[in-house]
Amino acid sequence: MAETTEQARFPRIVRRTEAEHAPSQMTYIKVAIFLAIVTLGEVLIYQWNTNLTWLYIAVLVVLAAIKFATVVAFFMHLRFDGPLPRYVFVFGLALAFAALGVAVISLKAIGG
Amino acid sequence: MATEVSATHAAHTSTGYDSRKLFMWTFLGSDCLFFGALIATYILYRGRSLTGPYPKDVFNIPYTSVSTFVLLMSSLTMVLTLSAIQRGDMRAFRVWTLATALLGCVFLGGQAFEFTDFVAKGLRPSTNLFGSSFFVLTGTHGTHVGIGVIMLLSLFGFSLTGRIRQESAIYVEMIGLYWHFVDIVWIVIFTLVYLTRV
Repeated sequence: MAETTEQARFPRIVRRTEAEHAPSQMTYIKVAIFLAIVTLGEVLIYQWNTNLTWLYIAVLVVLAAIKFATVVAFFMHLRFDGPLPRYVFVFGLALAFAALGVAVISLKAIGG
Repeated sequence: MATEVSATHAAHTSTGYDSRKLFMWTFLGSDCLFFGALIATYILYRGRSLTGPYPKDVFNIPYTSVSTFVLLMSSLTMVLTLSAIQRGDMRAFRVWTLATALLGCVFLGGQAFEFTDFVAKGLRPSTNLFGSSFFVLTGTHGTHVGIGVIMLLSLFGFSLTGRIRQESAIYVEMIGLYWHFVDIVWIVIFTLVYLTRV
């Protein structure tokens, strides 16, 4: 009854049980193994002696982004938590990137 | 369009989200900006030191890779901690909580050893721009890990006194979010500070 009343007050909210969307423990273990393999890949790429600095950095940044997104999506449950926490977190992340961009551009502008 | 909300976190709020959890996400969003500033500072100062030691003189990548692996595995034990308390399995909860705190302590011990090694090689916060920006960035991250370990040990203690039960899973989830955040910050630091040789 209480649930029905709440649904009437907040019709945009559809409730799901934890069991419906929480990954299993085996999924968590698979994700951890994946993260370990990607980290090993990063260390192997570090041994790579190349003059293509931009390619070397790009590959490492992509691998780090994959690890970052995997932890946020699966371990932090952001993939399953609905849009509001996602917006809040991504907003902070976007501000951080903006700060970095402004700092780099400012330094270039003053000839640093 | 409907908004999906976990029943565990469903709250009688206008957003449908538990405000405590939303607070933690907001805090983490602001902490992104904090670490973003520190990482930006490190990147801007990179290669501008007039005197050594330089990163290539002090970094030990295989050693730091092991520390990175330890922190990644602590994220696994943390998520298993949350899973255990949501099932009401308090014994597993205590085991995984202690395992996570232990892995955090191993990471901190590794960082302390690394700092000591760097100082022995002549790199101090006051030595050059690299030393200043490196120690501030990694030291701030280490402080975050230390705070996480204290929160985990507090959880363990509270579970022994019965103050943390299955109904209190939201607090474990909040601390878990903080712990995973510390992990993702290290993912960025490991790549941008240790692995990129520019």
